Amino acid sequence: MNEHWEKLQQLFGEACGLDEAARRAFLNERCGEDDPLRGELERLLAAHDHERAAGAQADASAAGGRFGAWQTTRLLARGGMGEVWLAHRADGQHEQVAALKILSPYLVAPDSVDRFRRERQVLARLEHPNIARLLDGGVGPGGQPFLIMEYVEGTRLDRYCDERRLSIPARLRLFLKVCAAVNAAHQHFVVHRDLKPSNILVTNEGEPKLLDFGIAKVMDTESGRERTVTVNQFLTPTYASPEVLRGEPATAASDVYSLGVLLFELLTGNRPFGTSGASPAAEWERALRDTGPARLWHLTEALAEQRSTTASRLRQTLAGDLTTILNKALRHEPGQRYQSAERLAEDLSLYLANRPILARPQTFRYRAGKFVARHRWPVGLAALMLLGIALGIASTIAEKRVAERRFGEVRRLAHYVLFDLYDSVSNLSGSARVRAEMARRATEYLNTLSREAKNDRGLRLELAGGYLRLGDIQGNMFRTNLGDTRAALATYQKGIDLLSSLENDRDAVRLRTLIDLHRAQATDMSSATRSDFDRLRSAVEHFEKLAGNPPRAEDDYQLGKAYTLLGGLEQQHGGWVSISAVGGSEFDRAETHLRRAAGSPLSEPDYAYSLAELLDRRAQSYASLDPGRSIGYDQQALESLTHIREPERNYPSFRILQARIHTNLTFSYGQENQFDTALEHARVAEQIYLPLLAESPDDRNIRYRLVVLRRVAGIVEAYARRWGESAEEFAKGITDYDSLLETGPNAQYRGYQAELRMRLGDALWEAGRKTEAEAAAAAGLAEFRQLANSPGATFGVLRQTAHYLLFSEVTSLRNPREALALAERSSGVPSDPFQLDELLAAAYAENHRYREAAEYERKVLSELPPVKPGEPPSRARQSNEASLTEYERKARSARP
Amino acid sequence: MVIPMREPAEPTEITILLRQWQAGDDRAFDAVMGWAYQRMLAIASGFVAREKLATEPAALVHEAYLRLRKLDRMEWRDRQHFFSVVASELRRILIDQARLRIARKREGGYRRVPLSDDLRWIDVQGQEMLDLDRALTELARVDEDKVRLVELRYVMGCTVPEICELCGISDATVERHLRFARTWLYDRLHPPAV
Repeated sequence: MNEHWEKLQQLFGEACGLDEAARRAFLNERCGEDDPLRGELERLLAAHDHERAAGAQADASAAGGRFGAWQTTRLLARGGMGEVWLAHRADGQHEQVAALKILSPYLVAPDSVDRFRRERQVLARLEHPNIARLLDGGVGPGGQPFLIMEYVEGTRLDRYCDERRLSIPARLRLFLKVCAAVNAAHQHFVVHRDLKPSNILVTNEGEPKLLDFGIAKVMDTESGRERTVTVNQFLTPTYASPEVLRGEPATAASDVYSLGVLLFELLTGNRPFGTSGASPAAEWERALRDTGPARLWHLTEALAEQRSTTASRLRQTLAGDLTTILNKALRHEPGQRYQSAERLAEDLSLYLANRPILARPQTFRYRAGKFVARHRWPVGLAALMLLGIALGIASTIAEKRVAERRFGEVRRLAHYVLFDLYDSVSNLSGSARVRAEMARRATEYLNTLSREAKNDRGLRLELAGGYLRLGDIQGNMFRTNLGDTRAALATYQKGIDLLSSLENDRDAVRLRTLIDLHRAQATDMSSATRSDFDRLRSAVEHFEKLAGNPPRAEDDYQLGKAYTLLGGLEQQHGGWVSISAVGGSEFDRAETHLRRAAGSPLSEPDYAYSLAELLDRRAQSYASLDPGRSIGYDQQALESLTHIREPERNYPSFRILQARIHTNLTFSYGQENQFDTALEHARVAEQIYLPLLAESPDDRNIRYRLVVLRRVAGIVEAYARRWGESAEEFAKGITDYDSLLETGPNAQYRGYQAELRMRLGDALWEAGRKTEAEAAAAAGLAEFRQLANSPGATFGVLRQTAHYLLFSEVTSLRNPREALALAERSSGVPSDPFQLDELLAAAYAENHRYREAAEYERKVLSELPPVKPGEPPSRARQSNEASLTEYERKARSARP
Repeated sequence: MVIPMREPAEPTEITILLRQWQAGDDRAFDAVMGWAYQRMLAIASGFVAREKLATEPAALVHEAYLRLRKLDRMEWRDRQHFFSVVASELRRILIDQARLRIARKREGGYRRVPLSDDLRWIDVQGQEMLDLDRALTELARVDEDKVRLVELRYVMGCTVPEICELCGISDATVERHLRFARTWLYDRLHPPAV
């Protein structure tokens, strides 16, 4: 392209919008008389005017055409499917006005004319006061099919409702008429296929009229493969059901789905799958997988006003039955929706009459869970078999190009197994092994696919998600797992590597953050360092920024979970920030996110569950420092769980959380010296764990939780000075650890077991059973020594070993010098400075080196939160201050 | 009363597919292919339908199929490449049809079929179509990009937003190029009397 051409275009662009006189002035100003451009420009400008006139002329020549007995009057609309004209009868029989629809010749396939005639006869029989009638039809002079429809004067359904500020009940009553019309058509075996607000007009009398019934079908051809693409091209994706978007035949259930979308919009003013600004890709996505109905809508005051109410009242009205009805109409699988428009109408009428509706609030997992519960093994096996087939296909990919076509299908299957089916199975007890196998096979198979599509972002995300799940089941000790931490870490790493190149991708960042967090959780926490924690936290904060403000409910939920995990890490480590608010700021953020998610109108049971889990963690962080506050949090947690109904209430994950809350209450009430209440909670927790464990003896998570309960109960019994009962609890816990250690040695469990042996020793000693006490404590100490002397011993192990060498009740086992050596060694491993200083202070004191002891005790005190004015110093401060006074006194009295 | 049949505010299926494809989803590519095939077949067979002849059109549809099959074996650089090739194939099919049409010199019951709403002065079944083809070839020597836009918009039937999505330019730019191209083409087809 040369400069001349560029300049010509530029000047043309500027001049063509001007009128005659302005153009002349423009030309005079911009190019001189003899400019070669000028001639060309003048010629083009003239051509421009002629071109526009020619277009208009061609338009006019099409108007006023005669189609059968009908004469066109005025063009009403032109669109992708053709043109709509206002027409009147030209045969003089009687005055009648109608809408004439000329179908675009581009859409008409060779075999369609006959078919068109047949369909037209069906449609002509369709008589209903709320359906615009088909009056006539035929083939026009140019061979283009046309339809004559009843001409309706009215307003689009959605605008009609908003303009008149119809209340929710008024909208529902109007919508019931629409349902009745759709149902009548279905009884004639006519499916609308393209229900949307612009196809439903409301007359001045308030009667809705459905337009274009069956038109989409008329457009259809019988030659299978080509059929749907043509038709679907003109469907509005927002209202089309997933199966129709996928290109499957439309059924009455597809219309029910479109009615669901329509109702959702009428009631909430939002689109069910995100607000109107949502990415169009999401619409397509929904056709390919079950993203589930929307969980959140933005109910602004403006929207509420159009419904003659306030936003908060509207929110109340929509929650509950209406949400249930919408969810049922918007099911992904046609078979799970209302079976007809009539059934949908029935439930809406029941709602209007304040009677219980027939639809049950059901989540996908609920149904899948029920199904799988009835057919547990068959489903698990079927899934594995399907994967076997899938793998077979995948292995031939390299050789056969034809296999690529199966790629998408097969991938959907893996996705289904890995995500939907896996989740539904995970709510069953005793499913750890089935799940591990499912996750392994599905991931293995996605792996094969990923070699075929290296740069496929979606596939990477799916694969990384698969690794996350596989890692969890392999060895994340905070979830149901098979106890192989090393394999889990390797699996998590694979997931992270896979996502490393997708830096600014929101979904990838979110997933990466989650994997990072789970990995940290699965690692031995006492080896985590402050910088690990900071790195994780900045990852979560990055994700929070990407999620926007306020985030979608789903993101709120994920962020809440992420912050809960972060807080948990901090808590587990003993606190890097300050002792009284361990994990506090993370938990605050988590609580904000989770409360918002759980409070959203279409909240999922998962949200209430995660909120309860967080509140329990908050409770744990105050358990020893402020038991009263801890109890308060746990009561809120139990309250949050009351929002979860059957069947989720019976899921093992729910019951385990319930038991964990009762375990923590046991500890907190014990701290408050209310021993009977405390042990009552312990019994509740035990009654939850024992049957669960009987159902799934392989589940290490449940067994581990039970040991935690034993330990807490033993400690409370010890507070109550019931030494025999205390020893019994500790002994049971030790046995349980034996079975945990059988399935795979784990340094963490060994450390915990050793601690229980030491506690057992203390309790037995107090009970006066000194021989047994010595045996138990000796065994515990031997275990601790072994752990402390193995390479890679963590600060936690070193600290505990040193602690018992200093303070075991079995005094014969004490060895202050060895303890001090361990304490000094532990300053070389990553540790919490506060705990380290405390340990060093004690170790020096026990070795009578009071000057050093006092020095470290002062450091401890400086790290404690300052005393709040008007409040007594905390218990920790009081005890540390007492120690310091003692060390200082002894340091003075001990002459060098 | 207004009956809008296709709401422009809605994302069209093709836009969705394009984004999916760009995001690396191979399923979307298959669907885009299917869509393009369908578009070609609809155009090929659509005109044939108005011929009301049972014997000849098969050859035409067959010819279109052969052209499409060729696309199947191509290596696509990117979606823009794909669409450019499909659009120019479509242009050739249209030209073939126009030639057949003119050769028959069919009379009676004839109705102009405009190439597009914006190019109503071009009857796809008439001599204008062949003239347009020549003019486009001429234009391609000066400004290939414009020809591609014309093909996408008027031959392929893409909407302006779809073209924006495809070529990564603003809708104002697309409109500006198209207006100039329309004027330029009209001038070539209807030169002023000297």
